[in-house]
Parts: sequence; C-alpha cells; structure tokens
Amino acid sequence: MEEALDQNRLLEILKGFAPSRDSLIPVLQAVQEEFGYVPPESMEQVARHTGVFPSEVSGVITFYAQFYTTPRGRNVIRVCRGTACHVRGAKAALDTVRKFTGIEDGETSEDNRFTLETVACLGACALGPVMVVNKVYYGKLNPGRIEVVLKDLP
Amino acid sequence: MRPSGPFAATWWFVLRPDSPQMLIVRSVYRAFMERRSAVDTVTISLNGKEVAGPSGTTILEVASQVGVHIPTLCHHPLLKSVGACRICLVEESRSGRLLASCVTPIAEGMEILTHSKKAIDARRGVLELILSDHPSACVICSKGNECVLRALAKDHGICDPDLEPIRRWRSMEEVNPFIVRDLTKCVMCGRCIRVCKDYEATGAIEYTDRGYATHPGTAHGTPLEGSECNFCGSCVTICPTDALAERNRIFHGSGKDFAPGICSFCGTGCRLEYAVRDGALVGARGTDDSPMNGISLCVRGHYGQDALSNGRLTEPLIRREDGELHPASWGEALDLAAARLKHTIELHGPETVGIITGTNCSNEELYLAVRFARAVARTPHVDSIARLSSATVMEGLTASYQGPRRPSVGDIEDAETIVLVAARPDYTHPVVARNVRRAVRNRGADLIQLDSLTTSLSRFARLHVKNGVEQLPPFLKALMKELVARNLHDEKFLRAGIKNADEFINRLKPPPGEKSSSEEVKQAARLMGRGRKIFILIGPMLARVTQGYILARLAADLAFLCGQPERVLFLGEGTNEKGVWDLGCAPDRLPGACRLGDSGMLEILKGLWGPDIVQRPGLDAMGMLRDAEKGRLKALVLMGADPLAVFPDTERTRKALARVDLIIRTGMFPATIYETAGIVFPSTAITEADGTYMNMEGRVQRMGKVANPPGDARPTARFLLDLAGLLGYPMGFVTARDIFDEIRRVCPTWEPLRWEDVGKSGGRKPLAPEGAGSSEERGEPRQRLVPYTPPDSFATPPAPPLERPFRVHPEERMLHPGDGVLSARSNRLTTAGQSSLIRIHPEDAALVGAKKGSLVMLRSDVGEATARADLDSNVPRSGVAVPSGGPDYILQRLLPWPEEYCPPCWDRVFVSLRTLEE
Repeated sequence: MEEALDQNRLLEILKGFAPSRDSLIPVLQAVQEEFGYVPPESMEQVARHTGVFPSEVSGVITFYAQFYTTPRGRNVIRVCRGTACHVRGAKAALDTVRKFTGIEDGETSEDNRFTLETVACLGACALGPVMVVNKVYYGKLNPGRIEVVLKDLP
Repeated sequence: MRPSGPFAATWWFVLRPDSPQMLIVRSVYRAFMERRSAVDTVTISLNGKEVAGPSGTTILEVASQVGVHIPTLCHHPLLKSVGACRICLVEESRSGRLLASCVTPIAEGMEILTHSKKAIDARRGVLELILSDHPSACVICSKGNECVLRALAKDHGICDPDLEPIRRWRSMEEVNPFIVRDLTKCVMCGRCIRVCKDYEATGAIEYTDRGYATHPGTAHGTPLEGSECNFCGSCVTICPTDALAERNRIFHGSGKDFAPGICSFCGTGCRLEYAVRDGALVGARGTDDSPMNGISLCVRGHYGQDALSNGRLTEPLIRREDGELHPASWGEALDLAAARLKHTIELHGPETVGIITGTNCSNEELYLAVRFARAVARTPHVDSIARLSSATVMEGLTASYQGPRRPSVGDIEDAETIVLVAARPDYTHPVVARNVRRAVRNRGADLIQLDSLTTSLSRFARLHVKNGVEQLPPFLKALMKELVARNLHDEKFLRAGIKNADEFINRLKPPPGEKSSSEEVKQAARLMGRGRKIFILIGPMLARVTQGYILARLAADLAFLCGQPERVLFLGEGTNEKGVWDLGCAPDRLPGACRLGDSGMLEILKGLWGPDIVQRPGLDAMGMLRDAEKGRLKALVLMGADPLAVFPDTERTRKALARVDLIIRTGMFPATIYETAGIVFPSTAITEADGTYMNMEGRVQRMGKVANPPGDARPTARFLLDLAGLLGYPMGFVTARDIFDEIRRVCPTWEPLRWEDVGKSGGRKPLAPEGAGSSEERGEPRQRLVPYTPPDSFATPPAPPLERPFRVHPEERMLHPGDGVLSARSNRLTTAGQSSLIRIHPEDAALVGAKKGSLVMLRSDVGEATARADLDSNVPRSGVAVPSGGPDYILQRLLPWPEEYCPPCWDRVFVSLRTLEE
C-alpha cells in the first residue's frame, strides 16, 4: 500500500510556489490535490521549500481538517449531521451509506473505493438530508437514491 | 557648485547654511521632529499615576519598570509574547475593557488599573478555568515549589475551584532518559514551543491537532528521540508546570539551593546554576546572565552533571607489596610520593620525571604544574593532554595572529555567512550550534558547511561541500583565489592591516589562462563576498590531521581576506584547553603564552620562582611516552589525565606506561591507568573547589565551591603544594586566589583581571575586562597579522592500501564530548548514548556482508576494535564514520603513534572491515 513518494512530482509542484512561509497552505493543498493526501515523506521537502520547520508543517496539517496524511478513497462521501438534516432523517441516510460501503465514519474502504465522513453542515439545509460526493451535492436523500448514486461510482 | 543666473547671488544667500531663511527652516524641522518624538513617547495612567514609555512598549513592560507586579504565566522575558493564557489581564477603566497586558502596547491616554476588582476577578476566573483541568496532586509533583501555576493559585487565593473539573488524562511519556512529559499537567502556554522554535531554533515541537486535543507535538508525532530534538532541555527549564520535567529526579531529589557556576563538559564554558541539596550536587539549569549561552544548556550540561558525583575516588590509594592498590591516608600517600620522587630524581636525574596535566585542570593548577616541573622537580618535561587535541591549530592561529584574539561566540549570531571548516558544533559544542541555527533561521544568514559527513546542521546549510579533510587545503586556497579574482576581498583592510599584503594578494591572483573554479567555490565566494559579515568555525578534529597547522592558517587567511580577522573561532574541546596555552603548560612554553626563550618572562619568573629554573625545552606528552617505552622515563605525574583514554594505540601506550617505575596520579575517577599507577590521589570536581577556567574565547571565568567533595578528595592544587612542600620547596600559597594573584603578576594580559570580577560563585561579571583575557598582548595590533600565503600545491594524500580500503571519518558524539571520560560517568548520557555505533554506506556494508546492527571488526595497521554497524547513505563511499572518543575508544585503538613532534593524526589511517556476526 505504502509506495515510495515520487520526488519528481513533488519537486514539480514545489516549483510553482514562491519559497516563502506564506506558500505553506497552498503548497499543501497542491500536494494533496496531486497525491490525494499529504504523504508524511513530503513534509521535509515542503518544510525546506517554505523555510519552516517540519514540525510546523505537521502542526498546520493536523490543525486543518482539510488535510489528510493517509491515502483517501477514490470517492469521498460527506454526509451532513446538522440539525436541519437530522430532523429530516440524516441518521437513516448515514446508515444506508454505511451499510452500502461497509465502512464507518472516518474510514476508507479496503478497496480504496470510498472514504466516509460526517460533517456538521454543508450549507444546503433546504435540501436536507444532504451528502456531498466528490464535490457534487445530493439533496433530499432517501435510501434508494443513495444506492443509485453510490452504485455508479468508480 | 555655485549657482549662476540673474538671481544667483540671492539664491546663494538664501541657501547658505547660516542664512536667516535656513535658520527658520531648520527650527521648523526641529520642532516637527520634536513633536514626532513626543508622539513616540506615550504616556498612560497606571493605577492613577502617570507613566511614560516609548510607543510599542507593552503595558506589562511599563508596569514592571515602575515596580507594579502583574501576574503572568505564558509570558517569558526571553520569548515573544503571544497572550495565550490571559492571566495578565488588566482593566482599561475608560472603556471598561480587559486587556492582556503582555501583548497590548500602550496608547496615549490609556487608564489602566492593574488591581481593580474587575481585573482581579477576571484573572481569578481565568486561573480557575486553567486549574479546572489540571491535576491538583501538588504534593507529589516534581516541580514542587518551582511551579508557576501553583504560585499563582496561592497568590490569588484559589483553593478549591468551584468549577466541575474536566479531566484530560493522558499517559506519562517516559521514553528517553532525559525528559518526562505529562500532558495532563500542560496548560498550553506554548512556552516550550516558542523556546524550541525561536530561542533554540531547533523547531522540534509545534502545536499539534486542534481544540481540546491541541498539544505540543513533533513532526509526524514521533517520540522526541526520533525528531530534531537535541535534548537541550530549555523547554524543561521554561515550562511553568510539571508537564515537562527532568527524568530520574526522584533519585536525586530536587535542588534546595541554586549556585551559579560554569559547565565542564566542553570549551564553551557555559554559565549555569548548579542545584545543590545538603552539599550534594543534584542537577543543573540554565540562567539568563551568560553572554555565551543565555538560558540554553546542552544535553550534557543539563542532564549529564550526575557524572560529577558518580563513582568517585574518595581516598588516596597506594600500591603495596602484593601489587594491589590499598587505601591510605593523605599524609602517608604524600610522604611516599615525595620520598619516591626524591629518590628517582637523585638516582636517575630530574630529566626522568614527566608531568602531564588533564583538560579539566584549573588555571591555578596548570600554573602550579609548570612551576612544580621547572622549579621543584627541575624537569622540562611538562605537557597537557589538551595539546594533543589542539596543538596544531593553536600553533597555526598563533603564527597567523601573533597576538591576542578575542573571538566571541555571541558574534556568530550577527554573521551573514557562517563557515564550518570541518566543525560540527552540533555534536561538540551544542550551544554554539544554537547560535549558528539562530543566525540562519532567525536572521537569514547563509551557512557553508565543509565536511565529508552530513550532520544535523546540514539541513540549515546553503552550501554543503562534502570534501574530505585532505581536499580542504586546495579548496580553501581556490576559494581565496576566487575572492581575489572577483575582487570580493577587502583590499583596503589588507593594505592597512597585515604584513606582506602585496605578496599575499599577488600570490592569490590567478595566472592568466588558469581554468575557472568549480561551481562550489564560486558559490562559496559569492556568499562570503565583500561586505558580508562572516564567521569561521574550526572543528576540533582539524587539530588531529596532518595538515592541521596549514588549515588553521588558511582559515585565518580567509578571515584576513574578508577583512574580519577576529571572526575565527577554534572549537576547543577541553574545559580549560585555552588556559593550557596561556599558562605555558607545554614543553616549549612559559606562562604568559611566551615561548621558552622569552628572556623578559624568564626574569619575571626567576624573581618569583627562584634563580634555578629549567630553561631547556622538554618532551611533549607523546615524547614522554616514547621515553617510557625505552625505559628512560622513571616517574610520571598525571594530573587528572587518563592516558589510555586519549593516547593513540591503546595497547602500545599500556605497555609503555607499564615500564614507568613510579606513576603518581590525581583524578576524580578510578581509571584504566589503575594497572600501572603506584599512588593515586582523589581530586575534586569543578564544583568542589575554587578556581578559574579559560573558555575557548579566552574568557576567564571563576568557579566557586558549590558542593562538598566526596570522602577525602582534595583539589589537585592542594596536592601539588603539599608535594612541593615535602620536597623542600614551600610555595606559600594558601588559597586558589593567592595563585591567581601570582598569575596576574606573571602574565601581562591577566593583570587587569580581579578575582572578584571574574565571576565568583554568585557573581554577575563573568566577562574579562576589556583589554584582558587572552594572551600575547604585544606590538601594534595592525602589524600582528601575518598571512600564510598558501604554497602552489599541497601534499597529495596517500591512497588507501588494498588490504585496508576504508578511510576513517572520526565523528564526535554529542553525548560523549572530548575524550568521553566525564560523560561515561553519567547514567543518563550512557543510557542514551549510542557511542559504539560506527556508520557505513549501505553499499559498502553489502560488500563486507554487514547489516544494520551487525558486529563489525575494524582493523588498522596497529590495532583492532569491534563495534555495531549502522547503515547511512550519507557516509561517503569507502569510508567509515567512527566515534572520536569514549567511552569505547574505538578510534584510539586504531591510531598509530605519530612521528616525532606531531599530534596523533587520523587522516592517514585506513582500516579493513570484517563482519563478525550479523
């Protein structure tokens, strides 16, 4: 599962950013965009490029929910657990997703197909219950609709 | 130029500096500036009183200046304030706002109440919140009365917080032998993070995670020993609670009294506070009054001081008829030593007696040793083992400077380019490495590393030239040529400041048509170019290479070329290595850093020591060993020196020493020399007697007695005085101060020093007064600098022989500095120290069939040693990185005895490797 980090790809990404600590978050976002997560092996290089200590890179990564240090699934499913969604049956929606994917909140399936997360609000309360799959919103969920959506995912 | 045209005369009149119009302009300008500076001074009302300060000052600073105490927790004067804890809240009465005084700058018209009911209530509230998730088991907390949080609770009268506690129990972390972490007690003040990142510039820890889970953590969350942490312990010093504590304190107790002193692990001479309980040394911590180290200490200074009290000699020992050492009284041992020494001198002559001092002898002891040798025992054979590891470089620097140098460790920080010439301060002098890191990280300096190995400073280096020591002289020469060719050198300084400047510069001008320099040379020259502030550090290992003298002179030349001769520092390893040079503890020198033939000094000495002073040059330490081997050396006095730990070719040294009839040794610890020593005297540690020490900068610092010596251990100075008395030469000294005062009469540069001023125990003036402190203060400063002018070509280093293909790269270890004799006595340092690991390149390891952890035998042409192997692709091919010192002394076993008048050198040593077991 763990592969050696492709240093060339990393260096190519770093080239596009100014060597300054201001670039740290954009660099990490670009690294995550490229690799799907922020490989721990890349931190040293990122730190060197941005002129901060590796511990500081680590601090930023662990602070922001947007950064991941483990590989993620091909499809990231975020299910809303906010109040509005909750009263409209978000729990049932989440159960359906869990049953379909076989994974719990925060996990990635073994075939790397799904990663499941719950979030507090997706900002689309009128459509609740809501989930976002790879940046696409799906509202007014019911078990049948969820299965249709998930079935077609690669 | 005079204006012209129809109104020229008028204009000229107006623009004259003293014209009425100009006077008006000037006065308006002055009034404007005064107004501006008036704005720059801000006045506020503090508890009803008017207080002023420059703008930008915080409320806390202004308050402390007028003696108003505001409680703080996360604030520390050495660190940037972040306002994390809110304990320092004060009330602004006009707006009713509560302000964190440590980060709020004063503003005109502020009305601050530091102790209003609102402010105190707010502080109590904050404190109760902090205490609500802090364990209240203060009785068994190792921070005890030093805890800031507990003091705050006491001051604010908080006994039992009304808040329901939310406990965040986390497990204790006790992985490494130095630091225990208990995050349950962490108050998230961030002091440890700031001290690590800004003050130490190590950056091992940072806030990790978010919200309630936030904690100080390393990159990847690895344990400290897997991170960049070098266990300087500043985070422990600065942690206000017991979240970070010293490990194994439980076995020592914590300090009751704190006595200022200096550390004895290396030549930096860091000032620290020794923690003492009932006359026993129990620990050490940094203070903030030191020009070298601030509150920083290294792992040795902080956690290795138990070495000073472990396994000490407590009574004199005499080898009796049965061939064993038996305890004896001082009187008996001294009588015997005097009688046998007298007998030896009468029977074989004084030239068969030798005296060798150790690296930890105080200045007073060194002076006495020289006087004892040349005036009492009447032998010229007096030397220090410190010279084995410094002689070539010190000789080189003396030849280049011909006078005193006062490099300062503090100057490293304002350098713009730092050059490490085979220097690894991160291992040998960690506090110096701190200054290097601070210069690079906090001030944007460039670091040039000239080193075959990769060290922890390499990540900070702008340029790492992986030259072996044998390629260093050509590299330095090429660099100098490049500086001259590109006109980056300081020609003005050279012309005015050094001897033979023309010849020096002309020799460095490249002949036409010479091929251009390598890219590395060009880059280094650019980084050192004209106007850049430089600092050159010379590593201690350079004193033990064949070209050590040349390299030291080339480093000095480089500093001359850049016009900054003072900015060269040799990283001396011994506590008092530099004192050895100033006090002439060498076979060819006299006190006052004079050569033996200095007639002026001889006259002074004759007046004090008596007319019969031995004036001939004697044998150096290696020479004495050679004489011992031939049976010519009959008696040897070893003052704190452990020969088997420092001399090369351990086996041959052992055999040579066995031929000496009488060995008298003073020392803190039982040593390997036991097999041959006839009479052993227990000596005091640096903390147990008065004395002065000279650090590698040339700073004389005084150490007072802070702890009681174990058993009947006495200062070595006392031993020498008593022995001299028994030999019929009473010197009349009673205290160390008496000896110090005589040194002042002898050494011209010591004259301005005063015993009271050189930093007594508790004193605040560790600095030597200006104009004193170092040696050889003669002649006009401008005429004293003598460039070396490198030769056209350097000797080509020999190729490794076929049967021993591996080149030795000695590597200093942070945990075992110098000869490793002292650190080997520290439980914590030896627990953590991977001293016996050698490192080889993985491909070389494959060739000899070694894996990580394999037991490998190294064999040179004189000896062999075994060690565990570690694989590291940063080690050069066909090379093996070997620990340079103790406690295993691998390198010493492999080194041959040197040629005549040469230090033991490692750069011509080649070894074969054989895997013994996987």
